[in-house]
Amino acid sequence: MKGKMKPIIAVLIAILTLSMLAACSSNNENNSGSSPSGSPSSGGASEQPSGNANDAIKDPYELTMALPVFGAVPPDLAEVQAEINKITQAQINTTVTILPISIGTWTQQMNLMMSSGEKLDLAYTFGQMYDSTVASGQILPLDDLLDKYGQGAVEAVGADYLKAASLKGNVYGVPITGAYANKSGVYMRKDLVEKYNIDLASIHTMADLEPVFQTIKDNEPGMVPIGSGLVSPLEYDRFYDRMGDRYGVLPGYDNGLKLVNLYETPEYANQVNLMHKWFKAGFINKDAATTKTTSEDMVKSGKAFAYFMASKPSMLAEETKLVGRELVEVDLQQDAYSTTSDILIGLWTIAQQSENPERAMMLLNLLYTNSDLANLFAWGIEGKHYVKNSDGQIEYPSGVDSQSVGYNITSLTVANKLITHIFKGNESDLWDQIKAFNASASKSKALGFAFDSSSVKNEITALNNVIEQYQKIIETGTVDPADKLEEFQKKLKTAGIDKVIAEKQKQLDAWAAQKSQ
Amino acid sequence: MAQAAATDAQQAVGKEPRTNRYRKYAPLLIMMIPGLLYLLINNYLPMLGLIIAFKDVNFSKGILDSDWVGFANFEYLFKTSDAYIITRNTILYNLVFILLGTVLSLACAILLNEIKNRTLLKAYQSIITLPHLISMVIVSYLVFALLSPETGFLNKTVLPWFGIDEGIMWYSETKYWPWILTIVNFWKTVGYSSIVYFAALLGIDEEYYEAARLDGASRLQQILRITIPILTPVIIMLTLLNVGRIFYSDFGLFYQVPLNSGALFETTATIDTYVFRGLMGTSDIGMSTAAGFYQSIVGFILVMLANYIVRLKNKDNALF
Repeated sequence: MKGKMKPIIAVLIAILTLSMLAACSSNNENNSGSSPSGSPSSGGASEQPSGNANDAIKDPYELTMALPVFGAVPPDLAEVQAEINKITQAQINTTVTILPISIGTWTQQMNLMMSSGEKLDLAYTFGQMYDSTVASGQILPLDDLLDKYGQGAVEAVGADYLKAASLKGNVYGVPITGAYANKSGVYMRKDLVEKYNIDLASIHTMADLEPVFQTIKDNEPGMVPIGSGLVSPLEYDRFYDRMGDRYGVLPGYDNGLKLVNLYETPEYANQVNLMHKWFKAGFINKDAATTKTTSEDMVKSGKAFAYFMASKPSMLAEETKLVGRELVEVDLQQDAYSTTSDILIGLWTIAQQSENPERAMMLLNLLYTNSDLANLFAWGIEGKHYVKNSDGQIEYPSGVDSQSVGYNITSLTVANKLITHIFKGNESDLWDQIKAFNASASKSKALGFAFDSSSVKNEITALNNVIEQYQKIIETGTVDPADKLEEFQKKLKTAGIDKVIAEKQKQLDAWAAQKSQ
Repeated sequence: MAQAAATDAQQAVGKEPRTNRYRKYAPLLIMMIPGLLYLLINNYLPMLGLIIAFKDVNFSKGILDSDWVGFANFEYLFKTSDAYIITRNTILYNLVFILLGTVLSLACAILLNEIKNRTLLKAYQSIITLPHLISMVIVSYLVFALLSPETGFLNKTVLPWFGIDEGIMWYSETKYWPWILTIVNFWKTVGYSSIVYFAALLGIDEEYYEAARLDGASRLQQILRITIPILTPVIIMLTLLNVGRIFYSDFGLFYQVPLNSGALFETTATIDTYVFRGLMGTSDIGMSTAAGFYQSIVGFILVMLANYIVRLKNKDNALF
């Protein structure tokens, strides 16, 4: 008996020790990314909203602002925050605590903060998460607040574009400014374009690129003509308004507001056939369906010659910076089109638990209108994190680069970059170019419509899985559409794409009817 | 036999008055409090969160006041055309992992036990447990180094030895993946799970073996007649614990290692990866809670059932 007991005890001890180790490690994971939240607010919570701005800012208030960070938290964030507070204190008697949250844990952290009612006033929301954030009641409708305290922000974004952020009749977030339209484009290595005397003027469509790619394929061993990275090349081919999730799209940005199933259009079939032809010809990297590198990195490392990407002002400079080589860009579409998803890239929103939404809106307004504040937020402190050139542009101080600078946040979270400094390497009238680009862009007929998918979420979940299964392999040309396209279409049907399109069509019709009133 | 001992003890204390009994065990009872509190706070209180699975969560109303939606959050797990594939994959992979895993880790532990040189033993132990410490993301790149269609070791070096020059598109051929995933899983887990068995082996009295050797038992006979029978309760306990997780899958193994390749869905999609892919964009916490709830309920039922069957056969070996 005794001899038999011993193994069990030994095992229990082993299990306990191992599980404790596991518990420790998982705790550490959970803790990383969170950081101490702001101290409790003093007063101001019970204040009645009032039209008189001076009245509304009588008591000091401390706002908490959740900011997604890609990579490490900027080491000098506290210093920049102190500088920001000098401005906000003077303007609206308010201080701000910026709460940096790593992008990897962003969704969980936000869900947690929202459900626990932790102090939070302003929160960033990614465009693709916007409607689910609204549907789950995480953020407040802003219409009244915008009227009272947010006129500057409305003006900065443009009232027309702001409508794109309206869901169920209310605006829940203010989009960041920037180019609100896109064209499809292709980016190529400049040195090789010159080496082979490629005639850029003859390229107007994807198919025109074939001889170019053939030249590269024949003459540059070890390099594929097209680098297909994380995002499949056809995502940038925009002959249609994708209507958010690509389930039910508007070809030609109009189609009489009649939605069609993209994956069954002849255009789509043509494109995937072309991609497969290119894949077979060796124009596309073989691991296109599974690679975790970006197209930019493939060009950077000399493994690829070109890639497809959206085209808009400032894009070439940004891509050149990413790739670290000289690039040329060719548009594959004549007109730029503006759709709801082009506008809703990122939004600033007010959390439902905010104790003082008025003050949050005032800060938001300042972020869109006060260029000192916007510059601090976007670039940090002058002289420390950036220096001004003689031509009015800015650059990093000597000896510092984008990796080592003490304050660096993604431009995606900058509320209104059109009032900030322009970074060296861009054209000096970049912001004017963007404004002109927006003004000249054609508007999709469904611009401003946003789909509320909550009634078909089972179908959407199933569809997302079908897309994950087939989209990459078909759109990179990895498999033969002759075998797989039909299977893909059938799977989408069983997953309920027709039901989703019908629901979207119903909402679109209702939206159009309301708009024409 | 653990229970037999417990009954003995109960009978022994049953003769004493109740107050005496408490006084006698007071130090032990007090020592139990932190553990109970830990269980209560860490394991039982969060269970209240299960109501999220039945709610349409709206943060502005708060979780408790959100609308009840019945089983609507569960529908997506069963209604889809993929429900069969993901359930089949999850269960079959786990069955293989449990059955073969037990055999392999037991074998590993027994072999380790046969090594008498202390230094070598430590070295082997470290080597076989090392994979457990490697993150699945890194494992996926190690696998990629082997399987990459263009630069992989298999396609570049190994296959040409056998006269296959074309190379295999590993990441788009479903038929290889049950093997690949099983091998990777065991490479990563066997060493770690053999520690538990090894610990049990160390507890076996050397006298049994001495007696067996005197009677002329061979090594194999010693293993079959002494080691395995003594370890049976441990094997059953660990298996029952694993059965409870039969509806869960190692997310890293099934998502990272196949590089989330759509072409491999047929043999790599499990419940966890399906839920992740479906809800990645929307992060509907009601639906994801529903999936977790469903997985644990099935696990719970299976553990009860398995334990009941073990009880029928041999009361002493059952977990409870």
